[in-house]
Amino acid sequence: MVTEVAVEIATPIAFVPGNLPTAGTETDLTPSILQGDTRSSSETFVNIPATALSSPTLSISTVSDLALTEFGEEISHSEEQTTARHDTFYFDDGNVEIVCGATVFRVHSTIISFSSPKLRDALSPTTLLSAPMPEGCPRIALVDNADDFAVLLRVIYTPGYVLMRSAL
Amino acid sequence: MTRFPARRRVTEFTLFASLLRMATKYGFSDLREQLVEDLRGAYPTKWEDFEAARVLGEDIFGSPKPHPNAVLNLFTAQNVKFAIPFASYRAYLGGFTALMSDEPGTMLPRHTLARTIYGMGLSQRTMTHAAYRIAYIENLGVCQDRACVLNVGINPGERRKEALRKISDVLSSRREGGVLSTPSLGNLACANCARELEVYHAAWRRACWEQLPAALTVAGSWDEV
Repeated sequence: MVTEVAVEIATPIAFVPGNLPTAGTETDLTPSILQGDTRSSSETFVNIPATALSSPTLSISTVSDLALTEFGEEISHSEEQTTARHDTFYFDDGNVEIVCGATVFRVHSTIISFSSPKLRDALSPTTLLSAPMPEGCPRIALVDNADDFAVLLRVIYTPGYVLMRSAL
Repeated sequence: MTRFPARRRVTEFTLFASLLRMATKYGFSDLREQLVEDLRGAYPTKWEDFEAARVLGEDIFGSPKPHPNAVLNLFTAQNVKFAIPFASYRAYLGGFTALMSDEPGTMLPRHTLARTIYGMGLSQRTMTHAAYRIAYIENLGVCQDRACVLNVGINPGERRKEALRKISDVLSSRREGGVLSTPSLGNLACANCARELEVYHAAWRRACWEQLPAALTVAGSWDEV
């Protein structure tokens, strides 16, 4: 049993003596390796060589790279490679084909760009008009993993979709 | 009104990561917001939320549970800033072997690795200091419980010193669960003394929590993440 409790709970940080640094007082001791983090989310966009494209396509390395002048040479030099239609997201009434790796999605540009300003830019009428049409509708290539893109499409195309593992 | 429906729980990590990457890249702001919001309970930014949370860290994701390094990598790459300090803490809990993992997707960039080791080392030192202060300096009073090791009459001199050393070891957080976990004093002290020690220790743990963003050089304080 405690008979005397003659102490107060002070703010603990006040107890720290000069030779026991705290985060707040030691920021200047941060190792130099911690100083140079310049990475950003834009690094998730990667360039792929034109020869890796599956068929005549527009190649979009980043959304901001959507300048028509950059497409021509890449299209003309791209090689025919085997592509496969995605089992689920290849709609006959779609109006744009999107190639991710060796997978082709045929989707509706207005639907997939509804909540995405970046896809809206990427799938603008101007862009689509200048895109090749190997299967009767404009085809563009995105440097995304096909599985990643399919997951996104599943969310976009499923009304009231609740993302659960069993549903995927 | 959000375009995307509210979700009941967070899905498997690989799917979550895919969606977060794509939502961020293509500016699906509603979707990204929803995905990030689902993490808040498991990656708290307030001490009270941390203490009250039932599910923490990577346990929020469906099976298979992801490696904490993979989660930290995702949050760093996708700039889920508020969750980075606690994700770093969770990664640190795995120990150095886990931190240095070279499995695909779990290898931490050099900067992240250094930041995590540096920050958590700082927190560890703070809690070691706290344990010393609590055990030796805070004057725990004179316990008269005959079963308590802190009873000076029953346990004078060396025995009390030994008891305090054990208490200091327990409080210093050199144990599973990390610097923020509640220590178990077991039978090292009577219930009243253990309660008093815990009050002191909780105050230090909270201080350690508040320092976490700065210690990890993610931000100056939790308010900034």
